[in-house]
Amino acid sequence: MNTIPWYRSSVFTVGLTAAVVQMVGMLDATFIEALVSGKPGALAQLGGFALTALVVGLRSIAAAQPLTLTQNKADLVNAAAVPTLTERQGGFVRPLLLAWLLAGAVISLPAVLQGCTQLGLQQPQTFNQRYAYALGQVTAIRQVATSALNAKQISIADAEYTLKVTDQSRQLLDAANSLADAGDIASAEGRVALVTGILTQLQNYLNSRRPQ
Amino acid sequence: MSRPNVDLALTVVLALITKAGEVSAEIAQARAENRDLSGEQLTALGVTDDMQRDLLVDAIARAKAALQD
Repeated sequence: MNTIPWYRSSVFTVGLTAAVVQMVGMLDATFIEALVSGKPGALAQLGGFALTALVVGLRSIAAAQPLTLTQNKADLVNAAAVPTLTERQGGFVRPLLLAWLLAGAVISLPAVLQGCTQLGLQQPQTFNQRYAYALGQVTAIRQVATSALNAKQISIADAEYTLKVTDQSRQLLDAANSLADAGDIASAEGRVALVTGILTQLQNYLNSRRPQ
Repeated sequence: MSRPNVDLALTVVLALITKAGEVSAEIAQARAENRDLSGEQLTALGVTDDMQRDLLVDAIARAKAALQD
């Protein structure tokens, strides 16, 4: 049985990224003051991260049960196990970590937003700023689709679908900008919100596509 | 979610964060100067999107041509 190094596990990578963003969100003056003064909330938060890091770390380096396993297909067939799996995450660790990521994402949303602000990702407040963000989303999704198509991660049909939806989104945004110029901010905001929803769905669609 | 899907999802998220960071820098600069984003800045974002759209169209055309070879 071959073992993929623990640091190459997708689940571990996502968890580590989330933890870094959360830590950035925590490390402000208020939190440090609360920590130094020994407030229970701050200590509990730090303890939670320490415990998580300990569990993930110990679980990852445990040689007996590595995070990610690669099992030879022929071995699986010979052992009359599931014949189609060539690569899988080990045992209960995968669902456990995925549940942890999901719960962590929900619980830590305020800290993540705070972390984004400290990293320079400011929240849009005016129509122009929300319009700019939505336009940036359109561009980013086109960029991802281009890269994914070149890497053969998505099909030509998926790329054409992405082009079509992003074109429609861009038309809606141009219309919203015209409405804002004409003074109808409420309608313009509605169209920007609509585009944001469409782009989120498109994002989910792209994420769900299997490679060719 | 399979590993390739995780990779693709991470790519999307990273691209969105990067793009949000670029736009956010514009917003931060405008706020520092106590003004909203200008029409010129919004137009520049539109031009960038047009260029990215051209790249996607080219990629689709190349992929189709490769299928026919």
